[in-house]
Amino acid sequence: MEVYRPLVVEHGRIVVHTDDPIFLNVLLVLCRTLKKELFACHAYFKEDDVESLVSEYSADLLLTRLMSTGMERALKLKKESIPDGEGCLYVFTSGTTGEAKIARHHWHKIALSADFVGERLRGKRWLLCYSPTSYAGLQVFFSAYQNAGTIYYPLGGYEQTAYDLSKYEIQIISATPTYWRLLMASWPSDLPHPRLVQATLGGEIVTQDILDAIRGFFKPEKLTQIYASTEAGTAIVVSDDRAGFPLGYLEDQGRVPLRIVNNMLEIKAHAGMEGYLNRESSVTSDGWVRSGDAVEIRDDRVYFLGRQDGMINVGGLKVLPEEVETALTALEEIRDARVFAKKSPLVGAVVVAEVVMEPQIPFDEPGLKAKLKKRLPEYKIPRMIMPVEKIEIFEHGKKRRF
Amino acid sequence: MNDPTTSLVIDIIRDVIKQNNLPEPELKPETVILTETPLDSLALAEVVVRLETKTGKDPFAQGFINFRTIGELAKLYCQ
Repeated sequence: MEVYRPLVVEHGRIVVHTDDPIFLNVLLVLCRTLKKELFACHAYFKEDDVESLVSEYSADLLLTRLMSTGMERALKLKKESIPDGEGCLYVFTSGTTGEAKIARHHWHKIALSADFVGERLRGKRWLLCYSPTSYAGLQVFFSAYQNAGTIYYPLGGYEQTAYDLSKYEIQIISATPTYWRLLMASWPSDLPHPRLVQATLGGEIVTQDILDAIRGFFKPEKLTQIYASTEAGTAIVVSDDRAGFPLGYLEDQGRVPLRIVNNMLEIKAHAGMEGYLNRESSVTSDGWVRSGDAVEIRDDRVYFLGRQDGMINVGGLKVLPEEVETALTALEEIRDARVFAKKSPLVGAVVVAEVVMEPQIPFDEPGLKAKLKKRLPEYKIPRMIMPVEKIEIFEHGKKRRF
Repeated sequence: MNDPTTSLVIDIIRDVIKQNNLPEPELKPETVILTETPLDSLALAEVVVRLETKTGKDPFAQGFINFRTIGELAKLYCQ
């Protein structure tokens, strides 16, 4: 860590683009200690996106370390460094128009959730399976760090991770329901199931079947669902082995205030972001964050139904249908496209598309996918593309999204 | 000889491998999908979506059922 200190000390606004979680962790700790501004880019960002970010926000240092391509560089971008202030962490999140929103977080608020600090969690060994630059990944990192824990990242496949879990005696796993499902599906038949201190899930809707499966497989002392967002911070923590959350949370004074407006969950944020860097905040003037997540009340419980804006959640990664449609219709052989979610038992949902080809152009699915790969990260590419005569449009002029 | 459902699963896996320009391994009923084929979670999800489209069956309608091998996946579509 100390090797990077002189480099970080000299700069004020740092952009990091890496697929190496340990490198990211080093920078997180250094920038927090030295009160710097840090942009934590997702590993799947394209080089061009990172460069335009650097120039748009006048960063003075760009650090790239991509294990996948072997690229490593430290670019000093300005003669004069940006002076120190309070510092902050910029977290990227999906926007409704396709462009990533950049949320500004105070360093001291990023891991405030009291549910993740305490004697029970002290000095434990954690496996962090979220994307390290996601809000969830950042929160888990700081929680483990503050609890003097050791963090492991799964870098191999699921089966390798299963062996590593046993070898390193991992005690806490934080992952999306998708990750849990695939880990259990890849578990080697001759390998005993470890008993966990804590199993946590978040980033996608948590259903009863996945809770039951984890309970039976890993027998965790505590099985916890976390509902958090980049905008609102950690809002709901449930550990009663049931999907959804208790209706009583809506009136509980001791918790983060929640309310339901037009079937949508709103959160009064206390540990959320300060605001967006590149657009107006979605927070109301009195501090309520509109989550965009539709909910329903059944008996004594509130259940999540999905997104109101049609956002597709692919194993915890968010995809906007409009963005993929734009990429498809930008191809000259495609006249029109409709992108929607197909429910998947493995990853929650996958992106699929219907396309109307230009006349006389033969439909070539692998060819279309190969072209999309140049424009979109893997998880946004429709897994199945179907040729159709025309795209169905609703009366109100919107494309059908299911 | 494989039964028709297993053959269908193998055909679809082969298609998805080809579409994604991945190396093709030997595919047998006892092949463990996520470790002995180059399919990642998204590609496996694609296989399942294609299977549902082809067979009209959704064995996961009531929730996730664990499967590891090609044979175990095929069995879910036989009922």
